Amino acid sequence: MSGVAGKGIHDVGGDPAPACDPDDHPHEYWERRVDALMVLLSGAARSPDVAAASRAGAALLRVDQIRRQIEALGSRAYGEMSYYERWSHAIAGVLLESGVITTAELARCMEPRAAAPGGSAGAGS
Amino acid sequence: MTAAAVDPAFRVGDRVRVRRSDPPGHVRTPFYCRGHSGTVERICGRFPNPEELAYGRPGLPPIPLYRVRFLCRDLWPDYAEHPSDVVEIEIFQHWLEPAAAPAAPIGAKR
Amino acid sequence: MNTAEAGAQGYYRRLQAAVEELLILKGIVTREAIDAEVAAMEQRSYRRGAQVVARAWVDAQFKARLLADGSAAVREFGFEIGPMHLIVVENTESVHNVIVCTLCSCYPRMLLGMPPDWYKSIEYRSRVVREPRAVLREFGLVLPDAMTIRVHDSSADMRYMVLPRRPAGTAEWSEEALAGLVSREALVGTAVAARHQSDDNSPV
Repeated sequence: MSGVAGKGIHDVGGDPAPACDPDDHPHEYWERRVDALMVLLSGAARSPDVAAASRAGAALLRVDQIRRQIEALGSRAYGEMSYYERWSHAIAGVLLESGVITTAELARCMEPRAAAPGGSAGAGS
Repeated sequence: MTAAAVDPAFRVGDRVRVRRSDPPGHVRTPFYCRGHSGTVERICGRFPNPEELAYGRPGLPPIPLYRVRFLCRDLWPDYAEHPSDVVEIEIFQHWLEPAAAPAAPIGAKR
Repeated sequence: MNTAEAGAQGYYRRLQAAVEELLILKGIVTREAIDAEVAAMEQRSYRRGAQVVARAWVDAQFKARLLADGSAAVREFGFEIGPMHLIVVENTESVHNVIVCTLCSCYPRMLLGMPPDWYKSIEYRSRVVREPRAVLREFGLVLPDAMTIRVHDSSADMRYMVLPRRPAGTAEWSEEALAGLVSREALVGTAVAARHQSDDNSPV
C-alpha cells in the first residue's frame, strides 16, 4: 500500500494498480448476514422521515465508525482480509468501543461448541 | 450546546481549492484532490461531519457538502486521455477555500 | 474462504456468529429482523435500477424528475430506499459517466443491492479516476474518441446511478423489454445499454 505519510491505506484514488477483473462471485451466506446486520445497526433502511427515525431511536452505530476501523487496519491486514472479513472485524470493534458488548462476552460466544443450541453457533451455509 | 447552522460559503460555479492538509483520523476528502482547484458543480445539502461521526460523536452542526468538478488534466500532470475529462468529488466546506486565496493549509508541516 | 458445513469455520465467520448471538441475547436485534433484512437485500438488485431507467426512457417528465432529484423519483416509482441521497447522471452522445468510491465501496445498495467485487477492488478504485478509458477497455467498453468522461467519486453522502443512453431501434419496445437491456455494469458506467451484446460493447 502507499507509504505516503498522511495518506490512508484505503485512500487509493490515482495509485498504480493492476488490471481490473470484471468477474464477480456470489456472496456467501455469512457475508449477507454481515451486510444485513450493518443495515440494521446503522439504520440504513429507515424511512427518510426524520421524525419517525428519531422516535425509533438513534442508530446503534454509524457507518463512519466502521470505515474508521477498517482504515486503521494496517496495510497488510487491509490487503489480505476479504471485504466482509474487514466489515466483520469493524462491527465487532465498534460495538466493543461503545460498550455494547465486552471482550469477555465475545470470547464466551466464540468458543467452539459440540452442538449448536438454537442454531446460534453457525450462521448457516 | 448546539452550534449555529453553517451557511454555505460557496455557490455553483465558484472556483474552489481543496486545502492541502493531511490530518490523521477519518477523512473523506481523497488525497488525490488536495491542493487542486475545481468548480462547484452543486451544493448537495448539509450533512453531519463524518470526521466526528467516525468517533461516535454527532458531527453537528451539519456542514455544507459540495460536488466539485476537477479537470483530469489538472489532477494528473501526465493525463493522456481526453482533455475535457473530469472527476467530480463530494467535498465538505471546511476542506475548501476560494481558488484565488493564498494557500492556508491546516496543520501541515511542509 | 471455504464454506465447510461443519468443522473448521473461518475466524471472522465465527466472530460474526458470536456478535449476532450476543446482540440477539441482549435484545438489540432479533434473528427475524436479520433474516428479513437478508431477504430484503436479495430483492434489491440492478433490475430495480433497470426498471427506473426504462421508465425514464419512455417518460420524459419522469426522466426530468429523476435527473433533478433521484431519490424522490425512485421513491415515486415505488422503491423503498431509506434515507439514501441518489444522484442520477445521464449519458449523452458527448458525455459518458462512470461511478466509483475510491475510499471504500459506497454504492446505492438500498436500490441496487450489493455491489460487485470489481467495484470494491483496489484496482478499480485506484485506476478509474486516473485512466478511465483504460479501465473501461478492460470491461470491454470502447468509447468514441470525442466523448468526454465524467467520473463521480462517491466520497460522502451522495450515491450515484448512471442513466445509460437508450439504444437505437427500440422505439416501440415495452418498458419491460427496455429494462432487459440495462445491465448492472451499465448503471455504474462500465458498460452501455445495447440491443445486442457484442465483444467490443460499442455504444449504439
